[in-house]
Amino acid sequence: MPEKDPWPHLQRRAAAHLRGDLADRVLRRHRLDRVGRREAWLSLGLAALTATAGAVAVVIIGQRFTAVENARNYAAWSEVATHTSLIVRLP
Amino acid sequence: MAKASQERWARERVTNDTLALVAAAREGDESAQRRLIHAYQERIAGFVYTVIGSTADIDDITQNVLLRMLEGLPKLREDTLFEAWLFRLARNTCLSHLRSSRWRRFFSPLETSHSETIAAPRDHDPALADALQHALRQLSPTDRAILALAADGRSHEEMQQSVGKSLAAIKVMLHRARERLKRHYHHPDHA
Repeated sequence: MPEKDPWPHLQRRAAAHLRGDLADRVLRRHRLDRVGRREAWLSLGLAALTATAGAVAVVIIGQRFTAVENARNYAAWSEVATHTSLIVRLP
Repeated sequence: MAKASQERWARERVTNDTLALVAAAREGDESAQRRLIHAYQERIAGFVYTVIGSTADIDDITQNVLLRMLEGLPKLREDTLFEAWLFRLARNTCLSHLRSSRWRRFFSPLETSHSETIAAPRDHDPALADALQHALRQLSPTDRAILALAADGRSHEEMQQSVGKSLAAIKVMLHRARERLKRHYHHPDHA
């Protein structure tokens, strides 16, 4: 009598250890992972947008400060220049 | 003759069905994904059991393999290579599970793995399965993986795709693994 093939018995034992809701669990996790990945990309995009907006705001405010400072310096310089020219013209 | 052509036709039909399922599953059709899971879950479980040698993690590892299958489907270049690709995923998942469990055992040696006792199916012979499992335990995980692919009816070319070695290397590996298995396998009726 030929020997029985043991492989199908091993495979049947393995199959018996699968829980009935395997497909449901796999699909649920796949769905969650997909949503999670989409949300992660969304958060990343939002963070990048916030960082860019912050950097632009810092540059604009910096430029404003510089402009104000420059105007103040120019006023002070012209005042000094006026006084200096007055002194030079003294007899 | 007629039977042979009928068998070939049936095989081609199955392949075409699988290809259609793979294409639909890739597009996100949930019912196709479910059918694909049902179609392969038992074969993957058999493969996983052969490679890891324990019933405790079959369900978890099979779930991981099928999840990776759904995630990786959009990246699959050739649909005709689907089965070889799926078994490569299964093989890599099993080997990385064995690696990580070796580390886990190293750091927590007293941790015991528990396996559920599940009622055996009607046409299941536990003595035969035990004898084969005992012999498989004496082999390396790579030997077990190639034997599991052969037991699933994969061709040498498909094994080549799954294992990533040359055809000649696959033939040699398979021959040696079979020789080792023969050395360790004792049929229960002869014991």
